[in-house]
Amino acid sequence: MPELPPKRSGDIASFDRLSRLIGDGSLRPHGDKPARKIPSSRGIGSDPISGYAELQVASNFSFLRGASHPDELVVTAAALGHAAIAITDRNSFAGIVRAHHTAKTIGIRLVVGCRLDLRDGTSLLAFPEDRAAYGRLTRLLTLGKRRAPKGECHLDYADLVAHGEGQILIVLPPAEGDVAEFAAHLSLARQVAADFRGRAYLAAHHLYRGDDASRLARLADIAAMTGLPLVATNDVHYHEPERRPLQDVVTCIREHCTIAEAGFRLAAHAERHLKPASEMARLFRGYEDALSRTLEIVARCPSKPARSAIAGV
Amino acid sequence: MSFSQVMRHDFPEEVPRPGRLAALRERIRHIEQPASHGVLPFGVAAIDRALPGGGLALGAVHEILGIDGDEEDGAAACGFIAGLLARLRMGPVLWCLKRPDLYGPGLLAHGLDPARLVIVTASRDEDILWAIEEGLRAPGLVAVIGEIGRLPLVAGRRLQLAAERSGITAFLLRRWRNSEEAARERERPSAAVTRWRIAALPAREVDDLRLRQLIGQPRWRVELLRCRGGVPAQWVVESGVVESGDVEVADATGHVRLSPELADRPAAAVDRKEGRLAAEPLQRRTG
Amino acid sequence: MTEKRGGSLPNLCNAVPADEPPFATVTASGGRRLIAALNPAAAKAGLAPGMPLPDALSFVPGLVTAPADPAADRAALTRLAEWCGRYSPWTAPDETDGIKIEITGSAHLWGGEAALVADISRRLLRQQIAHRIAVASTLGTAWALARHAADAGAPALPTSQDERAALAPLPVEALRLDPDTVQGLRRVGLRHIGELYPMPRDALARRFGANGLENSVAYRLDQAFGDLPEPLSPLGETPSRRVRLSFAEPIADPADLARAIERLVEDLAARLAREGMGARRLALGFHRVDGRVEHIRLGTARPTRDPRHLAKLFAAKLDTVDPGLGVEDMILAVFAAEKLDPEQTEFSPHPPAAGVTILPPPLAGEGRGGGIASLLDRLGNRFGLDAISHIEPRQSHIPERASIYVRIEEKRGSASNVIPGSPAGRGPESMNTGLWKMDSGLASSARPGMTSGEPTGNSRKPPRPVRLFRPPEPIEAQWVLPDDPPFRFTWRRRQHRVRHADGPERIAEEWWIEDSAADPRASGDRVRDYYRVEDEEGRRFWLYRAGLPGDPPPRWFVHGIFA
Repeated sequence: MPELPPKRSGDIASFDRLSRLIGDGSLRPHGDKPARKIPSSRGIGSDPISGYAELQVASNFSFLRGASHPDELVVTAAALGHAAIAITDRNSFAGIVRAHHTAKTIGIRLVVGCRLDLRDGTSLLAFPEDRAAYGRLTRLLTLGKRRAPKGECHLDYADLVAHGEGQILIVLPPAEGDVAEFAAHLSLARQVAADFRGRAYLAAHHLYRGDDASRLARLADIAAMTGLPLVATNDVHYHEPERRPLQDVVTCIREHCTIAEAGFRLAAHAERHLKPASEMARLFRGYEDALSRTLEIVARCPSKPARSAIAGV
Repeated sequence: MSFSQVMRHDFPEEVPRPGRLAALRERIRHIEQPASHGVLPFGVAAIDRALPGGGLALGAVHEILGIDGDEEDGAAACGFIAGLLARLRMGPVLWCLKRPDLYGPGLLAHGLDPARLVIVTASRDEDILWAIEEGLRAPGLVAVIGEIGRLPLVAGRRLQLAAERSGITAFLLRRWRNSEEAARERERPSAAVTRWRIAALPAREVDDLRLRQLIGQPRWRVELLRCRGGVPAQWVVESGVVESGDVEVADATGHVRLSPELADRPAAAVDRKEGRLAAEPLQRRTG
Repeated sequence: MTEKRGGSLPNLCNAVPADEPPFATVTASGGRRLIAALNPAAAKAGLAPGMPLPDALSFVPGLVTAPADPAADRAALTRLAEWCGRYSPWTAPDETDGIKIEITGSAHLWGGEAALVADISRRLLRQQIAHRIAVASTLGTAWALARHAADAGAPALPTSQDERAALAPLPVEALRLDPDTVQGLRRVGLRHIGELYPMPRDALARRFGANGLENSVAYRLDQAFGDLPEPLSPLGETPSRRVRLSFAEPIADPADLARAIERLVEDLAARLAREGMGARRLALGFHRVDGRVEHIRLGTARPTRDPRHLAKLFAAKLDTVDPGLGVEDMILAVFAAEKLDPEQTEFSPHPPAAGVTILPPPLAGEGRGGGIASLLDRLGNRFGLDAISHIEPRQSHIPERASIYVRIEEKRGSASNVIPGSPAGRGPESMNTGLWKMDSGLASSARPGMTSGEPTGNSRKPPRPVRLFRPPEPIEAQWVLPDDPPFRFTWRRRQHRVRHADGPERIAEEWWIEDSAADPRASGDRVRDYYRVEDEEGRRFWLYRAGLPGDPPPRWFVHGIFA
């Protein structure tokens, strides 16, 4: 079976070329059979193609958003052969303790971090590079919680900068991603690049919305324009696709509605789960650097979490 | 410098001013074409110029056809009509069809609020015809659309009279069961004031080289096949746009504009340093 | 408590003059031919129903016979019951040979019970139907009197006080008891109803109650005396209002019928106006001289009491009515009505000036919905109201569920009275009714940095086709990689080469929906990957692959077409 032409960004789908190749017999198209066996996107197994670590994970300690326990997430990441896993709950380190114990038992590297939801609606992932940075991050969260009503956390970008030394940041992309939002995202990225030179990245998601190709291209443009390297994450909310119904139920509780009324508040699909590296490679075809960058970030983080982190302080 | 300024300085007074000439032209146009219920302009000078009165006549019957496979599905014609309805005055619309395959979310993109539609499903052309005629006599309706195959000339004339009397505009979306029926029926004479044919055209190429596999801005060929008081013409159009930052985004108002690119033009690449579009001539795409 | 008065007409058969020959109908039972029904002459000659035919023939050699046709008899009885509807809507056939009518509310319209009975009698005779009539406070008493006391030309019309006495001499069969019970009673010497009066009830119940409640003597007695209610379930639906027009001379001319319709609808309209109601379902019955009744039934999209509108709707269907030799009564009945405020009525109460073209002015109050409601009625009249629908949005990711056709009859959420296109409660110039979220092409102020799972609501929607096929149409597709869109597909025997494609947009099943008929799961679609593809000519299709890429066998469909 002849090799498929190598995939390059500018070459992704030249159907003319493919048709010609098929026409002259170089490629054998299949009407009803796949041309090449690709592991099922839900398959499990360690992957030799390239390493990957999932850095954006909401456990059920992200109240009424995550649907899986930190244990389940850690175990699944290990089973998939991921290099490491981060648990990044919203404005909280609560899930870290459990995750650490399980990770140690299983033998997978745990990266300590959290997701910061700022008051202006922007969100970033923060990973402390060392013990001192971890302490700064916890103080930042305490600051935000103290000024806010119970259960909430009010933080501004300035607060982040004030506590920013030693933090590795990943800027999360806008939710819907139309033109206006991307313009705002560009200016945020510029700001972060200036304030956190060399320690900031730009996250990219594959949303299965139909416009992923142009979204990724635009994110790549912003990355190039600002100097923030692109990093791939899957915005994980549950460890396996079968957990989606619970995720939907949890959304309903949060929205105070029944499942029948929830409508567009529920996700259209069940893709926000931990995926094997090969699947991530398929989704980010042409942006393979974004996948290997997850390993780069893992390498910059302490291999052993701070004792205070494990103790849940 | 405006034209009238040129006139004043460089030409003698006796030459008719542009204002007077335009007014004369208007008067002639009104005599030629009564247009008693007004017109709906397209907002595109090239198209409005071709129509008596400067727009689509209201209180009249217009026919819209498709081409090839779309003669069975009537999708391009549907989009065209939806855009027109979006820009007609607010109010309910009667849509008579044989196959209930209209899809609300798709109509939204053309600016049409689907809640305006009263949909009547009937299985025979005679029934569709009856329903159209009833609709043309119902005050309060803004327009009537009939997806119809066979339409005898006499019936078409009757519809035209009903439309003129009530001021309600009728759109006949010609749609046939198969290509054989289409071949038989599409050439028959019609009493409609205008006759259009809409064909989907390949979308304008996406600028970004990385995204060339995607579908760009959709385009259509709009042909005015026949026009009472006008001459046939055709245009290549796209959806109207709205500015968003320094990018143009297709709006969803039903407006069209002439497609800015009728031949291949050099694609632009992003200037990564500055974040601005920089024009860079590239190879012309062939085929 | 209002007195219930009922009439009973048993033993109907075509009346023949006394000098007619004996005539009987014959039915076959178990290989034997038996007499089913007789005319008076045959009865007088000593024949009885159930007698074997050969015996009957030996008694009466000149006996004329015809095969019994129970179905036709039933149909004829039903038609007659319908015709009796001119006296009261509470009319029904009674067993195989009688009709029961509740005349409490209508006797006065005829000038009293006796006059009503006389009218029935006269008309039945004209139709050559032999009959016996009784009127009493209960069905049980009327039944008994009609069959055992009344006679042709001599109806039984006891006063309420006389009813007990009138029943007493009748045989116990008149209580509608089965033969076993009757035999049991006769065996102990009880032959007439009057003999049962002094008996203690519980003794009667114990002794003669074994064969089921209907055959319990006590039960039947209680019914006859009105101690136990016996409501009459009418043939057909009970109308809530009726107006009747009777003609001294039967009419058949369409113009006359149309004028009669106008009178009736005006009458009804006045009554509905007094009550503040509008009609939704009506029926107009034409009672012919030959006993047949023809109907025009109407349903309206919205309650109406506009006489011109109703008259027009009925007139449109007048050609479906065959007046036969003439119509003697027309009855307009309302079966469903709803509240209708004065401002909502369509037209001014004054008829248009002569010579003015009938284009009613747009109504006040509700806005320009006026002409629409009557258009809907006219369309509904011809196609049925379920051929008319609106398109309504639903919040669902599944495309075929996001937009559904709702018949106008069904209430539309809380906006049941919204006329399409006229915004509820807003100025007439507002651009949309608010039901559908219009896409301005730009997002509202969404918050950057938010990730999926937090929808902003007004953001740019993924493209959707103008035509959607229900169900999606299968296609043959060819692709290179399992997760690629096809580069070629065949649909309706035409081949398309794909030049450009967007996607995939992945939509997964709504796992909480149980209804498998509309469920993608029913066809195995747990997941669909949608692609918007453009072929060489520029036609743009909405395709999807059902199931995951790599699932064998992948199935492709075209779900819709873009403009």
